[in-house]
Amino acid sequence: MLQFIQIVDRISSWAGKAFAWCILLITFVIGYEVLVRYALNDPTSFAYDLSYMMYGTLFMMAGAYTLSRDGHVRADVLYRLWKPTTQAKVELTLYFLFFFPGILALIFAGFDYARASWTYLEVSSASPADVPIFQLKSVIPAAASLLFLQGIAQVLRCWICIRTGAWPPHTKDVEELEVTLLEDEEELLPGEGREARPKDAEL
Amino acid sequence: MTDPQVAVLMLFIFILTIMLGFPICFTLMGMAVFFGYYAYYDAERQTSIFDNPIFDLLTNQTYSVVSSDILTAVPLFLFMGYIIERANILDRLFHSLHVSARNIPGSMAVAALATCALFATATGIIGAVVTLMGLLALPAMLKARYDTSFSAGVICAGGCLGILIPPSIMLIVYAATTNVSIGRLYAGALLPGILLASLYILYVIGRATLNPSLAPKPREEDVSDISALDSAILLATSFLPLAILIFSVLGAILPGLATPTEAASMGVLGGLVLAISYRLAGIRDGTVIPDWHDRRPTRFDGLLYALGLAGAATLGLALAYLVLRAVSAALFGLTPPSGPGFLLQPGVGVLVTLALALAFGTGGRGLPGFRWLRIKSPSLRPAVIFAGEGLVLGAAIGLIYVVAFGVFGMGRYFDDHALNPYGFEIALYVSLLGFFAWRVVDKDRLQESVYLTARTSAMVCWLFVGSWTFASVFSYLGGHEVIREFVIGLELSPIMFLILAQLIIFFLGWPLEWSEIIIIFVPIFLPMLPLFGVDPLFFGILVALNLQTSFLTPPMAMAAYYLKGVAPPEVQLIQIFKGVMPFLSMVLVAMVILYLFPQLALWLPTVFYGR
Repeated sequence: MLQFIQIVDRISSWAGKAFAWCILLITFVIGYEVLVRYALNDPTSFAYDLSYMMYGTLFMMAGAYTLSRDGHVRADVLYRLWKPTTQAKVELTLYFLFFFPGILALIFAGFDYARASWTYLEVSSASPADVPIFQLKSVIPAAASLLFLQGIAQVLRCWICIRTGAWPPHTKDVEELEVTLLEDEEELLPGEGREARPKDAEL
Repeated sequence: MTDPQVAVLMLFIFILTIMLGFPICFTLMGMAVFFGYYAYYDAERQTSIFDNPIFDLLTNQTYSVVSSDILTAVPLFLFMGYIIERANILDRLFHSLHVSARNIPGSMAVAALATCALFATATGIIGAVVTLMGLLALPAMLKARYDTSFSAGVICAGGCLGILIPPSIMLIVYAATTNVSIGRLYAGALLPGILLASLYILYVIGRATLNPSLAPKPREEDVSDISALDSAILLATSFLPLAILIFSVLGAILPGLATPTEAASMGVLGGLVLAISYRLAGIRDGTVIPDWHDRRPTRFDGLLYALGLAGAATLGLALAYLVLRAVSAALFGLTPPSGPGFLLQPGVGVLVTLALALAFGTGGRGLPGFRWLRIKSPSLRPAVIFAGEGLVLGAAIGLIYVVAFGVFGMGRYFDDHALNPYGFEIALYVSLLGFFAWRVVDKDRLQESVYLTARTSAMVCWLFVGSWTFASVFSYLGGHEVIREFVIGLELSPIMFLILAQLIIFFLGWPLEWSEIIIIFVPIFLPMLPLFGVDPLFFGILVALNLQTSFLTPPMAMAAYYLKGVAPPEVQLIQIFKGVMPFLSMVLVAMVILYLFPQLALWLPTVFYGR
């Protein structure tokens, strides 16, 4: 079971990280557009469409990666006060109540939506260059399928937590600077600063 | 139950459910699907149980988030923030500001506040500023016998200014939620942001003057004797680049010169330049060990070195010419020639580069007048060689382009694509810069920034996916009308409405973060604004001011927890909260001033964009 979770995590983060590099492409495409438009007075016809396409792909495909790192924002005022098993039970219920219906709807409806677009090879109406957008619409079911897979892994995580009483550990990955700094600090001063971790703060 | 009642029920269940701590975007999506299925259910028209307009609504709303050109700026500004955050600029910035402010009462606190504000504005990431400053400035302030609460409050409050002062990501998210233009919001937030920052600084100076025991004057032995020139250099290498970066991003957006997306990309490139410059400076000083430290010399090193130096000089000349032309056109009304300048003309740039390379000399001996231009540090020499490699590569790419399009006429196969007269030059310079940057940039940090950008953008934008669908179902059920009638029934005056709305947002800020409040709860207030004649822009600035408090008030005072996490063990959480309180009242003062003088927020947008 743990192995399955790790494999799914790896798939999600691979997809998320691969598409994360779109951000550099957006920067360069718009940088090029600025150069040719303002300095050489010869704007491109594709930069606008390309930039929102890459932004859309970037954040959609990173959805599952973010979920695997527990990065989606939650209001955890009560949540963090509970025991891990309670957390897992509540979360398990809500995965089935909210997550899977929403994501399944997105997969199937998104699939139809993208298929309709493929049948007439839809192009963007924003530029005369006939920039295709059917591939962008296919991103919706693709990202939702990844999320579905990651959702199964998260459910298994909850299951392990209910069985063993502790959340299975995450594999190592980049973290926000404040998280890394807090962790470094804890290694330096064992026992100190513990209560200040947002996760188990009281007050 | 009537539809509007169902809508209100939906809102209530939602508020109860998010308190369970499930990721909010999926709660929104799931509830929207269930309630939407009920709302659009029509037994006669649907052919199967999966035939319901809610599914089309869900994909349509998802696609409008995916193709939103406003939100495109979000990952770009995030990326810029992560790059600057990891560029090792903070300690230098704090040190230089402290040195320049040393004659003001409470100099260290003022410097810490200014550092926090500037850094948070450039990065837009609060947690990182507060933790970094907690490691850097707090121990220094405590060592200078500053009061613990006072110092902690300064750092927490200063770090939160970043979400208010433009370019801030929160205002982009507000723009996407309310359809107020980003430019107007930035223009509107500028003066209130400066107002709040100056209130903070006035407060710090005032407290330090009235009660010198809070912030004692530095002892003789603690004062570092730095000459005026050195402190000017310190400022010029830390404060100035960041300030220029922020002002050029704003200066492009506000007068409408560039779209926010374009300005943000330029900001990313500026941030990369900053990060690379700091890395090169670190390599020169020996504090950073470059990944080429065990590089073996090759036969072409001398040639490539001269070419790299010459190419960079040529590019610098070309850019200087462009800037000069733009300045002279703006200041003296000279009409610039239509071409982009002779250094970008086909071939001229290459000739100049070769001539300069000859002057610099290939084997170490060049023309005497040019020797001082050579780079002295041996650890930096390979960086120039990389630039030379980039130049050669670029010339090759440019040649292929010219041959393919000019000689063999490949343009035929593309619609309306003739030979671009500047193609060769563009390939040459872009490759020079790109290859150089790729070899010199700290790839680990770049990779971290890229991955974190993806995760944070996914967090913000998936919230939009859920929220827009949820909001459509809510308004289809008639939820907005119920709330509207309820508010009309209260017979509030506009001022009372504003105060009530801000109070609700203030209380929401206790358990929630700004992203949820802006994306989910602000749309509920929006339809009521016209009833009371409140400008959505004005409302947005008030919300932005108000949300400063959401990081500082318990139980979810993230800024205080981050600071506690890295502070020396004797600093207690309660001391931090005590120190934050005066700054919370400053936020309140700023809001009252804004209520009394709405022109503070409304004047600049009319200057830039008219009514």
